[in-house]
Amino acid sequence: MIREHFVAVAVPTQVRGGKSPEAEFIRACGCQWVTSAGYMDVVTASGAHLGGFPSQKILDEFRKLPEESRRPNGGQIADLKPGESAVPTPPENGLILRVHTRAMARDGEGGYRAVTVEDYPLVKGDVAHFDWLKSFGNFGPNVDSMWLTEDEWRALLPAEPVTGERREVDPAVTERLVRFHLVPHKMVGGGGGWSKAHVNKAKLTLIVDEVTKDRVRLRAEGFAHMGSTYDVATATSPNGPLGHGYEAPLHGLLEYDRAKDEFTRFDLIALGDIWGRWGDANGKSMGVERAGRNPILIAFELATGDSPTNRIPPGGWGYYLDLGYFANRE
Amino acid sequence: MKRRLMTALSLSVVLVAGTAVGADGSAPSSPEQFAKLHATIKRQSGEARYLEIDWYPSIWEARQKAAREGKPLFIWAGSEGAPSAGC
Repeated sequence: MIREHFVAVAVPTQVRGGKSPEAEFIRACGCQWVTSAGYMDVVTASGAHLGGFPSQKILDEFRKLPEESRRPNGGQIADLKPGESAVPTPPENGLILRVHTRAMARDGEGGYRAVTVEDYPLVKGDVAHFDWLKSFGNFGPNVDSMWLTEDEWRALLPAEPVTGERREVDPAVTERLVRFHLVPHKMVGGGGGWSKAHVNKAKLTLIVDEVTKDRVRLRAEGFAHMGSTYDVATATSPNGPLGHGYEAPLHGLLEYDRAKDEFTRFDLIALGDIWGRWGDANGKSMGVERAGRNPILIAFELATGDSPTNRIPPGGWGYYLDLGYFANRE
Repeated sequence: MKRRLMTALSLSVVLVAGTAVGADGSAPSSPEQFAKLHATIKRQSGEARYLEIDWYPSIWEARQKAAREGKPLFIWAGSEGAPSAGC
């Protein structure tokens, strides 16, 4: 029903603040975004508040409204002026990668399996509680976007690629990847990323696997380690003394189409393990915590199609950009 | 609120289980194994169905579309970023 009868928009609550036209519209609608919790509102394009979660009842009420309320100014609303939008747009001719994060478990036979309630001692076998955490996406799938500028993605390609050639990815791009996108905490809402000081190792190398007149195939390999160093004696739960750490071997397969002048494949996986305390607002262990080291896997791929969802900024809004996302500053 | 949407739109999921590659972090041994593992991490069919919705990142752009098409606007707001980005 939402896809067919509503226009959906996902924004940070911070959009409500300030003096931008978007902020004024939200406030005029009566959207009461007071705390840091998530909010849902259904409004008309003219600014009338209809309710919270979309429903047939709300839709029926909407359809009873006068034309001017449903389609103000004959359906024409002027564009914002440059710089007025609260949410940044992707870099021109840049690359958008979708980033998927998921908690997994080892199956005892060398592979991975889906997590179950038994994997989480703090949930104490409570299936309802496990499902409740799951309903929030606390075990994934979490989906975010990574942005690369045109200069950055072009720099991934050797000017004259030769099979077997190895080249290190620009450290600024690798650091962006690990600081802002190898972040298991995003699954529980703590998406602020790792600070520069947390990054112990971040390396990503591209190897030319195949060169033809039509395409260049690259293989990626790398490694990242953020946060604490794993120590089995202190990676205990609940409320163990070891702070969070995450390390991940990185593997990838990329393809560049020479005629299209674009990447047609950009698949990367981080086969990472996490350990240490998942602290809540009071620093106490969260239900998603497990003792020892446990897999949190992250996959990157090209954003495809023209869904507006692809344009949601990394981390959901512009604050990553203020944390050195592009500038690689502190 | 978020839970309400998640619950309303989510279905139970059978994940691709027993992905017998790379559980020690080593490289998958073939492109096929790589692709299987990559697909396992991503959203599975029927899972987190709110991600099947086209979410606009801009209130204004969504408002323009809602006005043009005569539809109501559904706004989902999260504390640390747009919810569909994983808040």
